[in-house]
Amino acid sequence: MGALNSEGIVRPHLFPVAKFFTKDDRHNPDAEPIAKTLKVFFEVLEKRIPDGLISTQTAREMILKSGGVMRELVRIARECCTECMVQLEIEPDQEAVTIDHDILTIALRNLRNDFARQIGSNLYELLVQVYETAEPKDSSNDGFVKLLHGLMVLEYMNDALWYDVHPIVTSLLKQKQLIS
Amino acid sequence: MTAVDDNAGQNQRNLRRLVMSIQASYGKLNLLIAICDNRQYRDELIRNYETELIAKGVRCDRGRVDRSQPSLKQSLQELTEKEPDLRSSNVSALVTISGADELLGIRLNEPKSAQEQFFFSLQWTREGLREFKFPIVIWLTSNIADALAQQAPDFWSWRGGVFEFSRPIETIIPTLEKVKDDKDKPNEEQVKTDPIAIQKQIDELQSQDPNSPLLASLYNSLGNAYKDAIRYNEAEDPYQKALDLYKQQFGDRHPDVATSLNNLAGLYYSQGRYAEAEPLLKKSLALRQELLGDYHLDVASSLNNLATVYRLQGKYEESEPLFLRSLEIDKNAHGEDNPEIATTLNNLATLYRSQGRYEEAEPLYQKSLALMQELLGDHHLDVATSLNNLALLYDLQGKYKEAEPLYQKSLALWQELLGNRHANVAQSLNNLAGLYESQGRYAEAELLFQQALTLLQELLGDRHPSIATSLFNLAVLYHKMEKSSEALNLIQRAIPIYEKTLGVDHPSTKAAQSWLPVIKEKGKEKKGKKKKGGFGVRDR
Repeated sequence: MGALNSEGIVRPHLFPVAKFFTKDDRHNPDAEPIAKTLKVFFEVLEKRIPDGLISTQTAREMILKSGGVMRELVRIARECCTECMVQLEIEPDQEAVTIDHDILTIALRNLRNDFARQIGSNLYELLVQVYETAEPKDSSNDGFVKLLHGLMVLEYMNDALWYDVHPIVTSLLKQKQLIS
Repeated sequence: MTAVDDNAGQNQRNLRRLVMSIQASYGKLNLLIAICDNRQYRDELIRNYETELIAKGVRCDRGRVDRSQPSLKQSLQELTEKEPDLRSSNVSALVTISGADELLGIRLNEPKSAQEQFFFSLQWTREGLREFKFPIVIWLTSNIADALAQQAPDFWSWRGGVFEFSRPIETIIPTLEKVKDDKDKPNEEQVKTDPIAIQKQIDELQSQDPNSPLLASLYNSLGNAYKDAIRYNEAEDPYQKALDLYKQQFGDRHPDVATSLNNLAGLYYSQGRYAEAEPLLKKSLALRQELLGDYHLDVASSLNNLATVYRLQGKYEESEPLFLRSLEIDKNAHGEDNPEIATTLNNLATLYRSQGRYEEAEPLYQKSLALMQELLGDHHLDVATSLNNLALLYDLQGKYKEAEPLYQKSLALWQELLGNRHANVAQSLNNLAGLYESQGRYAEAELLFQQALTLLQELLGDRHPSIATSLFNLAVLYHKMEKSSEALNLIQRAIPIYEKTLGVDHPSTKAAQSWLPVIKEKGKEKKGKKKKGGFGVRDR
């Protein structure tokens, strides 16, 4: 009689949403990100992007825009790479195309547009509320579940759960002058 | 005239992004979302990247999703069964999926619309897509992409990139379309005299018998009379009164109420108030279906009208099945040869033309014209409309030699039948002007555009989408003639009219808006500012 074993089954690893800031510091422009989390994200980028193609400053900017979601970091990085490839094609003479602030800005704009599509028109108020209070009025509300599901709102855990708007969506809210 | 500069830069950049993303993911699943509302341009883009990639040794396959099979996974499975090489991850291959942009958003005797079924299958079979190891480009319209992002969030989160393309319509030339307006339906004797005479009748009747059941139909005739005289603003009130009276008389659910709703909607249609016409037409259709059954001719007429209003609002996916259904009912009732069918064929062809499906539009227009000539003789308004529409199609296809005599014939017919001061004459002048413009005959075009604009302003006042179109057409002509300040002035007048009458999301509004920066840019260039070449548009 053999025991059931799980051979061959790929067990998915959960990536928890990592925190760069504590709840209180989440919108404090002077707060230092939590070093340990930042380091993990830096290491992932280093493995994926060869040396010299991205400056530390841009990498840090990119990492913070992921909101602590690993897949979002990969998404932003990939978008940047595509933009660089396009830039290289347009200006083949230019030798040193790297992921710089300009490239990151374009990539983030592209992703911001994708989010805008996803949000539709009736969830902005809820987003603003989550941004301001770090929690939903009602966590079972359909709109809120949709925001969470689509990574427009991210869930962070301490002793208690708290929420924040995805950094790219935050810039969308700023662009629409819904928050300052 | 090349494509619009700014847009062209952005489109070109997005095409390169798309190609780069494809090239980075051979042998791997990569879900690339491409968005384009202009069908013709979409096809051009697909040809464009496929040609480039095939030259580099990439195999390019195509798959389709459609109403009978609204599942991406299934259509990929069928494709890979037919083309087993796609299963090998050593091959550089790309699959383009079309058809998703044609799925219907409305339900036809089924619990879910085809769009909803598609989103549902994307959302729940996402994991199943892992078996396909190649990049996949899925073409959508912007509306469908929005709905997909919202209704299939898990699938959306797997996207490898979103690539949006837009191409404005060069000049929009209004079509003459027939909305079936049921004028004769409330079948008391028709009073086809001038509004004043009818108003007098109403006043007399009201003093004798304020509750006379005839009042409703008289108000309806008054509305018709104003409408026929193109005094639209004055027509609304009597139509509304007729509707209220019918409701008082018969309650909310009566065929005459449905007809009355339809007539008021017909007025809104003439005024370009499509968004206001839509709910009335829906209500009228539902009433007729309920009261008269699904196969009644009035139902066909309602379907036709609603489909037309959908088309004019750019809701093409919703429009087509309604026309087809209307056609089916008409055929059932009359057989193949009758004027109703000719009208619906014409309207369906116009839908196809709006979508850029020219090859499908042409035989329908031809059949419609032949039917009209056979049934109504050569000297009939509908024949003129039909000639005009076929000419416009040829014009858009670049078949100018075929187009010109047809335009002239239809213009002459209208002048003969309606006199020189009529909106149809203005539109006809406008269309002929457009043809001259396409051929580079600018001076002739300018003269006719101006005549058309003046005439339309006299007839319709300043707030009508046709005025905006007329201003817009003239603006584009001036732009081409390098008269930038005139062009700017006109486009700036056209845009707010479109915004107010058609709304900010209407394709015509967007097309006009997209020209604004182009015209401004040309103005700057002329002032001596040299524009930098290349398309490295950077957003800072």
